[in-house]
Amino acid sequence: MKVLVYILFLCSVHGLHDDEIGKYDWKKEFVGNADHVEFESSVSVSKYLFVASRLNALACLNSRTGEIIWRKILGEAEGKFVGIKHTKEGLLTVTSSGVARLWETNSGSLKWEAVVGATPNITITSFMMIERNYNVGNLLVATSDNGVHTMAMLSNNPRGETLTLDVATDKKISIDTTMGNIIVLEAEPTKLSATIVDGGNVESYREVVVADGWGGGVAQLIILETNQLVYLDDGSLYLVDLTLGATKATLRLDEVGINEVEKLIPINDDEVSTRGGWFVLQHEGGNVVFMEVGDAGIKITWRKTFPNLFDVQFKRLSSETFLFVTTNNGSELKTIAIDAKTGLIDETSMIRFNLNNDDGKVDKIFINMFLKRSTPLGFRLLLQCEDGSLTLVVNPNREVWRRQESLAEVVGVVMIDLPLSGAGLEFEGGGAERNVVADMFVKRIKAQSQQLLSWVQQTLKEIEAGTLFKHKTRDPLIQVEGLTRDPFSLHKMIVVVTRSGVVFGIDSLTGDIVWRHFIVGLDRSLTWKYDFYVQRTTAHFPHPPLVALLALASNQPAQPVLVTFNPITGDFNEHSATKPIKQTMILPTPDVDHLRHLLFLHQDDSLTLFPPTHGGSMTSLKLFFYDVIDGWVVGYAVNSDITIKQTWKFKIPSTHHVISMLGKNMLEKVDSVGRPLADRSVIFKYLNPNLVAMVAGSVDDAVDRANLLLIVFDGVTGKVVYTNTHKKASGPVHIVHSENWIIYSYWNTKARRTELTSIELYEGKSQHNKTTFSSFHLQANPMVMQQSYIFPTGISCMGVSHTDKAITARQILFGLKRGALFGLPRRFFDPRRPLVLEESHREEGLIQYMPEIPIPPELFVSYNLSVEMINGIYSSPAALESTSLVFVTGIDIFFTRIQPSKMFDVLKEDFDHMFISLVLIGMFVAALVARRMSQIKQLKKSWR
Amino acid sequence: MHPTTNTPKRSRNKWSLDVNLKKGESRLELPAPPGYAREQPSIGSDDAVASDDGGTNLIDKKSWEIAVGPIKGLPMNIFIMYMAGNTISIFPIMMVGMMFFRPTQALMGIRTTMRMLENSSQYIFQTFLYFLGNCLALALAVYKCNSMGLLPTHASDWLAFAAPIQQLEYVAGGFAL
Repeated sequence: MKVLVYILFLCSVHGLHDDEIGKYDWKKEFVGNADHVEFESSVSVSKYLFVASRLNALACLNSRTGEIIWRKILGEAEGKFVGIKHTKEGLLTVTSSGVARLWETNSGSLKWEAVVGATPNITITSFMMIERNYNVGNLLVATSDNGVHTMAMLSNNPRGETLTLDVATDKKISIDTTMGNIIVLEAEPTKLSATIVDGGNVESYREVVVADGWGGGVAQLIILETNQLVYLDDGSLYLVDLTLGATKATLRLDEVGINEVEKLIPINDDEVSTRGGWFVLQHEGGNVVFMEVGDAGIKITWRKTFPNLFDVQFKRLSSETFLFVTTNNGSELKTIAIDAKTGLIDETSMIRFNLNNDDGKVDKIFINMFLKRSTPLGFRLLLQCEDGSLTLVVNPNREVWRRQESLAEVVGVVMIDLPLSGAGLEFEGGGAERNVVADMFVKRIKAQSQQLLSWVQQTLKEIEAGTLFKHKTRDPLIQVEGLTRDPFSLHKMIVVVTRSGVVFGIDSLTGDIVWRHFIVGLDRSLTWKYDFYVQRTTAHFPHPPLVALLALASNQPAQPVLVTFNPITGDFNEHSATKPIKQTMILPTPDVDHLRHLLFLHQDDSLTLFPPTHGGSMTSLKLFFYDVIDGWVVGYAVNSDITIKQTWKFKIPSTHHVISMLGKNMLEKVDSVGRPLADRSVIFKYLNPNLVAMVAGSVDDAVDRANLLLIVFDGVTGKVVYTNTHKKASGPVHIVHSENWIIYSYWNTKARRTELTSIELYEGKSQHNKTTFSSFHLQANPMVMQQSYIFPTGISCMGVSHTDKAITARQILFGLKRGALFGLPRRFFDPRRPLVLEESHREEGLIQYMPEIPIPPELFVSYNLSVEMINGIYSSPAALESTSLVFVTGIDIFFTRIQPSKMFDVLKEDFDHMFISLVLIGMFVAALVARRMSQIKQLKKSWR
Repeated sequence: MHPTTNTPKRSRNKWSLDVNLKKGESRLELPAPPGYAREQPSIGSDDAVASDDGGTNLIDKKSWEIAVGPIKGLPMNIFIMYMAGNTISIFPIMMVGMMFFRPTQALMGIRTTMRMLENSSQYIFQTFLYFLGNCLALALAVYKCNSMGLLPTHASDWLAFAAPIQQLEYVAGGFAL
């Protein structure tokens, strides 16, 4: 009970005041790369635009501004979105796991959800909808890998039926609304058969073999109105009556000048009854042929040639049918609308859009057609580019808005201090060339007088403008405008790299994008891993800050891409490709230009430096890596002539594979080498900077046999310091490793809950060596303390706070699966927490052991905000010892600052400076007056 | 013309005294100030003269009292310190402060005390005793500080001054990239 009260008391100070919300934190929401886009189906230009992304997010955007109106995120187990469809009732979505949902369009609230197809473990591949009257509800038709599923979408009771068909992998489904039929076409290697299913009771009532001995796929056929089907075989088009299976007409394509057919495009994607007798054939050389099917067979209505043809789409609105043809010559995208029946081009509504080399190629085009009063039609384009941006373009060439959706998939972050202001720079620059003391003194005086002068000028200007006492930024602690460092270094440049290979510079004060760079040299078909290396910080004026970004293709022997850039201005330099890289290291000691070099270990075990020359010795550098394929962990030492030799290796048992591995930050600061105990003796921490924690999971993942193996080893000598096995446990594993402690989370398969284990390593009551640490020193294995806890909610990511001098207590940060950032003081994970709390423990600040970790709502760093799908927590120290800056990535990006031990070095914002100074001045004046009065009184007294 | 004359003033204030000389007046000898007795009174002259030995005894006695004072106070101080407890709060700290302050003050002013004791026969011994008593009181204060944990006598008290450990090797690694 006491402990509970204690904890409550402890936690209550961490909360946030109402007026502090949004003062120093910000959050940006994203959707991710769009897989499916649906415009609100209305005749006139509509406000809503629906996007389903590859990150399983469904969002409604305002099509005029690009802002998110609402957004819903589905869990990973749901599978991907198969499609979205805007209906009169709302937005209909189906996921590949077979869950159909209907969302309210205005608010995004869920109207109903139901499972399509009662059989488990199916994968839905496509769906469409047959409109029916209100009493029976619209019919949802979905195909899966084992059949066709239908569901009557009655708003109060959606219910479904399943028809299992023989599994054919190549399958196409169309619906005939007027007849209420579902037409399933299956292409087998030797034949094409059609099954016509009655939508009402899901019974197949006719099966027809359409073409025997046909080897094409379903992409090479089109169903038209009144059960007609056109398929392509051996350079000829065949027209077939579906109900009979008889060929009605053929057209040899080479007779009409068509040699190689690229695509057959139906007027409407899934509905047969609105297609009429028309379709479009796209063939080589950018030719588009509009074809009509009639009694006289297949005939060509019109044909046009478009050089650099990129995309052809049909759009239908009421009685109008238009063909949208997009051409792309690399620098300009041009979309024109052609009246389908007449083949007339409407020149007024053409859209031309200049493409930036900086956006990558255009991936997808989504067209929204609407009717206008003045002209016959209008349309808008939504472009999904390779860099993840989503752009809405309107006639004639205006970009309405652009969303940088690649920020939903940030994979690397580094936070850089901003440079000092102009006057400060000069002063700092004085230190660069150390000449004579007198000279330096003069320089310093000059610089400081200049600073004073500029300050006076600034203040005068502010007084003139009347802004002297006003807050210059929304953050009360940052009162320096622009991209210059504030005294507390709270304002930083956040540099992020996203999965699609775009580097952004983000202002940490506002969250605005300062610069953006698209890495050109990446092959976008591969998956890339990115690593930042801060080679030079902003502290070395006049040398510019420099960050290196290394992109490596994962699992492919592709050339790595190395770029260096100035993180403040975003000036990029691309470097020539190097040999494939196995391991990299940033050197701990900078050279004379304050630049930290990079060391690359290549696949052929050779070493190179970047930049190539470095004066210092490199014999203190060691490298190690784990080879996923053969399970060896191999360590290397660097020789003085920049070659390597293998020094040690050990094998992970073949029953296990390494899930996660984490060393300590190189050059990590540790404030205290030991820990005082209640009897005032010291227990010294085992501060081996080369320690690596590795968690391996068993290959056998059965619930009662799965286990986890923790190996803590020295990366220099390969000596295993500690091992531990968790039975009935499996990944995902998240590790935090700092100073002398390791905290990792895993899944307990038996109890079905998330657990955490905390490990602390100590040398004991005496210190082995007070001045230096070498892994080669002969030293006994450290004492290990260990405790495990139950974490009551799912963890998606773990991190730890970093402060300037590491004096402040650490805070362990958790990205929760429920969409929040949660921070707990590290003492909750102190393995010395006693079972029975005694006075001496209390003196040390230990809390009684409880297996459950509490989740008090005051400790949510993200307070009431939802920060969804957190996959990275990055922290950076400010110049204020109490404060750590935290940047969280996921589908949202969130930035805030935390004070793990409260803000002990800055006065609270509500501190009344005016009152205090008034009181002080008042007291001073009162003292003066009283002194004078007493003097007078004294004089009078002595005169009496 | 001087506005005041002796006669009318005196009736108003009988304590007022005019020492100013009037014109033409010369007074060689000033009257004695009020309350000043010209002849020395003899106080107990009989006793003092009668027993010279008794006087020395009294000085010795008084000197002893001064010399033993600090030691006499020790038990009381010990009791107070015991009652104050070892917790660090305002009153025990004030008490410990006083414990330090008083002996230190006494030792600083030991020269004046020595002068007071000068006339005693066992002057050196008494001074030593006085000094010892104060030292003991100081020791008691130090002991109290120690038992309160205010003295940096443990390893943990010097922990913050330990220099950071320099690392000799640097390592990088992880999964094979």
